[in-house]
Amino acid sequence: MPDMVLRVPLGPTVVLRGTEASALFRHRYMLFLYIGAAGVGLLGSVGTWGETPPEIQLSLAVLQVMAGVLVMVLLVWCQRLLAHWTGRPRSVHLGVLVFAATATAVLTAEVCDRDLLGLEAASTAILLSQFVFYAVLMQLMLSVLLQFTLPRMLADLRRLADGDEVTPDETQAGSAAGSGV
Amino acid sequence: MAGTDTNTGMGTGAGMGTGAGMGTGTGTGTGTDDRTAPERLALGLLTLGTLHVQRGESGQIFRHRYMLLVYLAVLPLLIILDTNPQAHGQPPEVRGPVYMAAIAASMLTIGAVVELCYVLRIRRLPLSVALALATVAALAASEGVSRLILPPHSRSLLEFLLVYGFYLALTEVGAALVVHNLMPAILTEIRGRPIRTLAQTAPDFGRTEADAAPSEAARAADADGGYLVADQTRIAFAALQSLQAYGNYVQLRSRSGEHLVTGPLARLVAEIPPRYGFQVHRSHWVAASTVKGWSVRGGDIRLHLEGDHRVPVAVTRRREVRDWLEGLNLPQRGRG
Repeated sequence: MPDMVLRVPLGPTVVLRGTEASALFRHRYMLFLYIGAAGVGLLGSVGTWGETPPEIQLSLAVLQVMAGVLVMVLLVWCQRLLAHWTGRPRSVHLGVLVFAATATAVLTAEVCDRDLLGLEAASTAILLSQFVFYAVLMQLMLSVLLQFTLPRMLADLRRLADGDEVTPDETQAGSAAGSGV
Repeated sequence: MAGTDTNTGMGTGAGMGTGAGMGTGTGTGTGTDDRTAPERLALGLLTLGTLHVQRGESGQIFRHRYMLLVYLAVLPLLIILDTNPQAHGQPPEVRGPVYMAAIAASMLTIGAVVELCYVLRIRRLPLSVALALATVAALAASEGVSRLILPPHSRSLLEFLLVYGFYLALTEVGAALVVHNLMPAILTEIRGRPIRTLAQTAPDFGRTEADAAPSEAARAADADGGYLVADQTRIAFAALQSLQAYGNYVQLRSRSGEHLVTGPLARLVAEIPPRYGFQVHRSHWVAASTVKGWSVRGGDIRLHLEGDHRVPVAVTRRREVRDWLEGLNLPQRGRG
């Protein structure tokens, strides 16, 4: 399977091999990010809960995050299929994936609020504002997470021998002689 | 002890009963070439101290994970501190872009001011000037975005000035914390050498003679074909393979054999023009012509030399060694 070049906004660029691209989104550190995203979604909507109990709000926040992650994974799979089809590695910008996931999450929240909770439909300006807020926040959170943990995540995925780690430099595409130094 | 034909030599004493000595040719030299020196800007802090930033570093600093964490920490602070009464009627997810615009505008303004200084060849600037402009930009951006999202409201000039003063003070405190506590760690990663204090952010701080421009002796010797003298033998720079520090002595490996000469290593390395090799470790200098490849094991990089010798690369010099190796276009030789 051809490699995939994943470009992290405000972060490193990494070459992923085989199924690593989709496996990356299932890593335990990413699961923490999803939980954090649900928490941010919950805090961000403080003031709009009305009579809705917190646990319902929390489950809705989790639902939004799941919808966003699902879209992100589907897009990665599409890129892998395209790479397989064309026989060339694909360059994927994580920012685009995050924008798509955030748009999905915001729209899911809107549908849930309107159809499940019976709230008023939000105006376009409000939806746009929510989208910008969560998109930027998720980009920042994801960049911080990946800058801190990407080498360790890749080491986990590549099942390196004991004592071996992928150094931050090794994650950089196009470093000296391909990678490594 | 140093024997040369036409010059004064750089003599060193014999050591360990081997009668080792070394020397280089000397001659007329030229001054240091400043054309290759990186452009730098000294940002003076209100809280004392100076932050030295080289051209191109500000973008890397703003994108560093520590700075991203700062943005994430500032965001809820701004949400809580907002003085606009209209804003408090809206959930954070709706008024969030107002504060994001403020943060983005302030960072962009600081970056623009720094770049402008490079363009105008200004070498010193009080950071407070950039922060004052950044605060103005942040207030203007947040005001503009809030008019798009939130119900309209008006502020008197006095109220605006009070708010400006408050945020300017907040920015100064935040900048002091960031510059004193985070910037050394950030610049350590960017520059690839340990930086613990603001004083050490000066690009020339702690540079050894070997890191600096080649000495006059090295330039003259290079022009003369170039050689060291060890054990009364001339060893051409081109024949050198490696130097390794052993306490007060340095083991010199060349194509003609091994020699032990007196150190320190830094002084010997300063005599060799940079194009012949690189000091990859506090105790090791290697010639470019003898490096056959490199390998990575764990976080360590090792250079493979002729004769199956391996030399470790210091963690703090990895970035410079990487740049050097890129020019050599060498293959990776597995791990370990």
